[in-house]
Amino acid sequence: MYQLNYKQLRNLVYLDEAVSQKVEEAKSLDLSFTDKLGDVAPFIKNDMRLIWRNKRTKTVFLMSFLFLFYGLIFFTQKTYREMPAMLMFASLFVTGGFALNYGQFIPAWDSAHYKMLMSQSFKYRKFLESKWILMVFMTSFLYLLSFPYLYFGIDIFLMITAGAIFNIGFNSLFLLFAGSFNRKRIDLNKSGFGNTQGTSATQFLIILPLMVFPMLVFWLFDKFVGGNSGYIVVASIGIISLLCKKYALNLIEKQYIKNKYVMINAFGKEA
Amino acid sequence: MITIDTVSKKYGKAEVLNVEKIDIPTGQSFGLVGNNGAGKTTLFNILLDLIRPTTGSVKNNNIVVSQSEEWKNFTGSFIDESFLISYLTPEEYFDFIGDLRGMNKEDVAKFIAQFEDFFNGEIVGKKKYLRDLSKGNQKKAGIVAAMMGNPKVVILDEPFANLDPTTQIRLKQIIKKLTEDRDVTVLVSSHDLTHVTEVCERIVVLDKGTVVNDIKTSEETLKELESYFAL
Repeated sequence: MYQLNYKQLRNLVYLDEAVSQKVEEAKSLDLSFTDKLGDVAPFIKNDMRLIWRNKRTKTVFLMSFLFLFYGLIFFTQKTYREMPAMLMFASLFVTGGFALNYGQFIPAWDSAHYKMLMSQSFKYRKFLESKWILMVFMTSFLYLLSFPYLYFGIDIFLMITAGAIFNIGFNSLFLLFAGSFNRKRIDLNKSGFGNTQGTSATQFLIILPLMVFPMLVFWLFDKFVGGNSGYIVVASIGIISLLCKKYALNLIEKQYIKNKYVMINAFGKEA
Repeated sequence: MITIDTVSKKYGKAEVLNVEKIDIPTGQSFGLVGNNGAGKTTLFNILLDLIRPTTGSVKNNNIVVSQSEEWKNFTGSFIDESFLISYLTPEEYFDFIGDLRGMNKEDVAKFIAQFEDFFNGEIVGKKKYLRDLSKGNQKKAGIVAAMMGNPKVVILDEPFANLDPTTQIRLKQIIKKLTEDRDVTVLVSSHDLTHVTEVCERIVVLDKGTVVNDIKTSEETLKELESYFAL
C-alpha cells in the first residue's frame, strides 16, 4: 500500500508536467463560402472564428439557442397569457437571443486588436455592416427554428414574427449605435459563463429601447386600439428601421469615428 | 514623406511629448531611440492617428493623418500585440490583413514564402493560434504583416525586442533590403543602440518627450550614442 502510494506521488512530484497546458490544435475550416459577400467577407470570417474559438463568445452563441425556449416559460402559464406585454417580452427574446447578447458588446469583442483595425485601410462601414449581417442572419435563423411555437396558436406566432421583425429592423441597428458607447475592454481568453467583463451602465440603458419600448408600444395599441394593431405597429417599426438602414448606418459610422480615440484608449487598458 | 510638425501630447498637466519639427524624406531609414518613457511609442501612435496630439499635426505623404484615411493604404505598422488577432492562426491572420490590403490568397502565400528563413519554421503550418505562440514568434508574424501589400511607409515599434539573435540579424537584413531601393520609408524604434545604428541612416534621440539629438549615422554614431546614454 505504502509502495503504491509512494510511486504514485513520486510520479506527480514534477510540477511542470502537472501544470503544463495542453495547447489547443488549431482547426481551420474553409470559410471561403463567405467570399460571396464581397467586401465584408474578411470581417464575417473573422467574426465566425471569434465566436467559435473563444469561450465567452461561444457561450453567447450557444445561449442564444437556449433563449429559443424562453417562450415556453411564458406561453405555458396562464397568468402570463393574460398579460400580452409580457408575452411580447418573451417573443422578443425567442429570436433576439443572439442579437442582444452579442450585439451589446460590439465592438468590445474586437477590443484586443482594435488598434490594428484602426490603422488598417478599410471603410468603417464594412466593419459595422459585417456585424449587422451576422445579427440579422442569426435572428432570421432563430426565427426559422421558432416555427414550432405555432403549436401555441397563431396569436403567439404572430407575436414572435413581429418580435423577429423588430429585432432585425430596429434592434440590430440600435445595438450597433449603442456599441459606440462601449468603453470596456473584453479579454476573450477569460471564461464565458457569468463573466460580466465589459459590462457597464450602457448595457442597462440599452435594454430600455430594446425591450421596454416595443413592449410599451404593443401594450398601448393592444389595449386601446385592439385587434391586430399591436403586432402591426411593432412590426412596422422594424420595417421602417430596416428601410432607414442606410441613413442609420451613416449616423452610426460617424458616431464611431467621432469616438475613435476614446475607444482606442479605453480598449487599450487591461481590465 | 513624413512631416512631424510641432507635435505635443499632454496628459493632464504632464507633457509626454514635445517635438518641434522632423522631416523624414522618402526612402529614409529612420531610427528613434530613447529610454523608457521618452515618448517613442506615443510618437508612433500619433503617426498612426491612434492618439490625438494636443498640438501640431503629422503629414504622411502630404496627407494630414487625422483628417483623411488615405494614408492607411500605403502605411504598414506593428506597434504591439494589439496588432495581432489572438484567436487566428498566423495563416488566417495574414489572409485577413492581405484581404484588407487588396491581396488575394495566392499573393499572400507568395509573399509569406519569402520569409521562410525569418520564420524559422515556427510560424506557418504549425496549427497553432497566435495566442499560443511565444512572444518572439508573435512579433515575427506582426512584423511580416506590417510589410504586406507593398507599403510605402513601414512603422515598427521595438521590433528587435523579444527576438533571438539569429532572428535579429535576419530582421536587419529584411529592413535593409526594404530601404535598398529608396522607395520605402522605414521607421524603427529601439532601446538597442547597436541594432538601430546598423539599420538606420538617421537616428533621433528622444528624452522626456523632446528631441535631444538628430544625427546621420556614421562610424562614430554608436560611440556618440553610447556616451550620451552612459550619463
